[in-house]
Amino acid sequence: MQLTEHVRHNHVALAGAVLFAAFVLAAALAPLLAPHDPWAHFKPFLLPSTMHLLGTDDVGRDILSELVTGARVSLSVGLFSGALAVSFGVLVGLLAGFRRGRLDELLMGLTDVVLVIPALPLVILVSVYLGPGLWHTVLILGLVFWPSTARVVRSQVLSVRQSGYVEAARALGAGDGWLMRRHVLPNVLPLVLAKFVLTVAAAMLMEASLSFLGLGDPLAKSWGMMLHYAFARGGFINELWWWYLPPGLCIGLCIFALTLVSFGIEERSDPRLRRALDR
Amino acid sequence: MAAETSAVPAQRHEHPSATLASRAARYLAALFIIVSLNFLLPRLMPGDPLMNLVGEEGYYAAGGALDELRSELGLDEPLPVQYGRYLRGLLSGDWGYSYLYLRPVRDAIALHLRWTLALVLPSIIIAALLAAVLGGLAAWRRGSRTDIGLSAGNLLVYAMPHYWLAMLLLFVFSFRLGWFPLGRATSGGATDLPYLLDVGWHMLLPLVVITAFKATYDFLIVRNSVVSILGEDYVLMAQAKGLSAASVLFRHVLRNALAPLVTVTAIQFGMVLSGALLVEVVFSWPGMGTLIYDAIGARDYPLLQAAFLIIAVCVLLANFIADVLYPLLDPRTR
Amino acid sequence: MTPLLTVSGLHVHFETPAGTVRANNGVSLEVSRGESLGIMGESGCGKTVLFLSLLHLQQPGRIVSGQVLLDGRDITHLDERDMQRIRGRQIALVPQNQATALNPAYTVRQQLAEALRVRCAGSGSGSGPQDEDEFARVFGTLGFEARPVLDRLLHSYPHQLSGGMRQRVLIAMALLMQPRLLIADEPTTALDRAVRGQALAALQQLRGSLTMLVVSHDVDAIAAACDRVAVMYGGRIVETGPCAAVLNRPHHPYSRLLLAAQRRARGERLPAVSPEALDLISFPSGCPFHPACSEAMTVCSVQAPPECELRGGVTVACHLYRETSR
Repeated sequence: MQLTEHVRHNHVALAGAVLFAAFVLAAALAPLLAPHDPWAHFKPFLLPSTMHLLGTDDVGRDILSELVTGARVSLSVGLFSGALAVSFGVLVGLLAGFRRGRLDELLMGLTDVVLVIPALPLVILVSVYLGPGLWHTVLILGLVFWPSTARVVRSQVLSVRQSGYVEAARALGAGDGWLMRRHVLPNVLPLVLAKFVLTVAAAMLMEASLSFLGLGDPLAKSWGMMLHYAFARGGFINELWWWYLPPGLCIGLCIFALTLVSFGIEERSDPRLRRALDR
Repeated sequence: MAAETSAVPAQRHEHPSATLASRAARYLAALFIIVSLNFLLPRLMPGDPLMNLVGEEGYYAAGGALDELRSELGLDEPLPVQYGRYLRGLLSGDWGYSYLYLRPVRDAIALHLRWTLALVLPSIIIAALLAAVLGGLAAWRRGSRTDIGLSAGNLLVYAMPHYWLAMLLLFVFSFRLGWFPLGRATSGGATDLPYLLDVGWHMLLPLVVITAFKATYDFLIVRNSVVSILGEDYVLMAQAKGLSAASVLFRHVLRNALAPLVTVTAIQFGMVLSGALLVEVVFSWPGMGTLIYDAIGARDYPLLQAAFLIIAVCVLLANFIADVLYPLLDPRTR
Repeated sequence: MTPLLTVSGLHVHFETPAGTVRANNGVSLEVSRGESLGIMGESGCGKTVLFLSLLHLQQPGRIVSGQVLLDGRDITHLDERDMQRIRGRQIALVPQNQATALNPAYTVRQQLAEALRVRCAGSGSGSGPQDEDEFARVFGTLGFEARPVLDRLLHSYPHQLSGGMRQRVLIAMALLMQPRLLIADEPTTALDRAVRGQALAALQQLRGSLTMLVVSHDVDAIAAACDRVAVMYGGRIVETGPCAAVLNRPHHPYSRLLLAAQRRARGERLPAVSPEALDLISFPSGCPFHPACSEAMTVCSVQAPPECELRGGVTVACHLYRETSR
């Protein structure tokens, strides 16, 4: 498929994909990789040692084990939110692009409004009322990140519909379903994939922000929650950098990896080269 | 709060119905939705609407007088009537009482908002300038080591959660090196010029973090914008006229990259503001971030609602300003 | 008298992921003072790369060998700073796409003033009344009476003007710099039929007073604006000669095909004449045209054709004419 060709030829995207896959793998194998049970209590505020490579937190839990297990939470929230947001966005984009008219105007108006509302404050407010809970978070994030995907899908549908050859096919009786299968989906897929990757990154960041502020799920400690506790329970003031630097680093590396992948998927070409060769 | 912008800025002005009237309508609709959301959330979310409205402290402080409080706030009235009361209250400045700060919500917000704006507004401008220069340079030397170096460096900073970056900087420069204060906006006691200098000294690190945060986005925007502009015929023409590289870069390339940059800056105002919140928490900067953080801890809902509202309104304003500025920068849209 | 422009054996290559594109393969031509030379060929023949290379604006392409002499001076390997002095002041370009060649953010006046500053080496601002006289004068040389609408024109933005008007502005911009050589890239292509006549008239006005290089696939434009014409194919000049001679009695098989096709599709965008577009990466050996040539001989696929000088000042690069040449 053309898509894998793109990614394969692009070393940068590949590197990103490998890095992210490593994190996913670590998350999947967390119970095996974590040296201790992340919920077990040892002596609190222990410095890094061979027994506890990253020391222990304020209630004595092994930080490294928390870090590895936290990957599961952070990654799944990101992936599920991303999937939800992108699915919804694709649906809205397809609807708006195919149906046009009033429905399109309405949907696009909605998209614009959602886009202009500042995401974090809204999510904070809703989370505060809903209370902690991973699925709450996934739902809210999914509802916040769909607009840009919707926009992209819609414009793709519109441009495909307006292409001359498609107009001709329509004149011969080709219906929306055919149009969607043969033309829209193949063209839209790389864009949607790129959007998905970026949305996962954005969702991970926002989950981390929410958790940092104390709105995360204390029963499912994500990297963001680790940062929250490190900050709120004296880890920062007491310069226990092995507590708060690793979770942030992990988040950063995941975002970095995902961004690399998205760069690879987006098509690039040198306009000057194209110009000179066209003539 | 990483806005899921891809590296290409959203084309805000592609809408066929982008007349002034329809855009004004969009803003009003957004305002209406935000205000209504603010109204509906405490009443629809789980929990007693009364608690959702006055906050935990307020709820418990009322003691046995809960029913009086309920009717005082009009919670037993039909929704449309409540909505009317709510709007009147908003417009008259009665946004409730904060048990956390023991003052009217409006005062608490005003007190904290100015610190946030003091941090965010300079950051935005500095970030835009920095990104314009670096992004333009990277695009100009596309593919070279300069470009790769700048882009990679940008990506690294972009990927880090900015509040983590804040922690890192604070740790290195304040805790370890002692060059900067450990937090807050002032160390207290000074007036006039020494006061300003003191604030400036406290402001430097958070400013750097927020500027870096925004600049990394702007860099991508500018670079992509400039790369596509470089492929335009009028740039070739400018070169063919024998203009110097500086002339071509500034008068022709960057001038045309200006409009998208300003637009994106305004659109991302919400993102920057949101980002600033967390940075403020790390630095104990007395802005909206600290307000929200404390309010969450104390479950002071009226404070949180008002914070959301004011931030959303600021963002709408920023978008509106961008809409007004764009035609001034791009003659084609006049 | 030395020709104003001499190009000898110019080779320009582009490195692409698919291979090296040889856009120009040994192009040689001469333009005398006051003469107007047309470069005629279809899309992809290398004519754009040719004139861009004269200005060192062919990036990311590279000039791998050959020589360009401007009034006897070798400008092939000048550094960027020296080249900036050549561009505009010595060699000016009138670009093809009038819709996109003007900066949308500046008024006509600002862009004309910029050209004026190039001529005056930075002094003068282009905003004085004497500058307006100059603008009007230059438009006049194109046969356009600008005075009645000058004020409005100068304050307009490019998108507010018609295509034909923008074309005039571009030509005026080039003329303001008082170049020694004017390069016109497809002067009629980006214009509507109705307006094409105006552009041609403008070029005809300039003919004789200015040394010009007109790059086009449009026979009418070449016939109207040029004294001599060079036909280009596969990065090479295949035939050169006075317009009347080449256009009415083409010698090279490719020229014949090209002109016949043009007669058929008058003024329309030219479809590729050869059965397959020429692959500039994997070049055929010998004559580049031989795979598509109806008169190809065995030698054509083996040996590159020599330049054969014929009567009437015509030069053809074709094996067919080896015997008849001097």
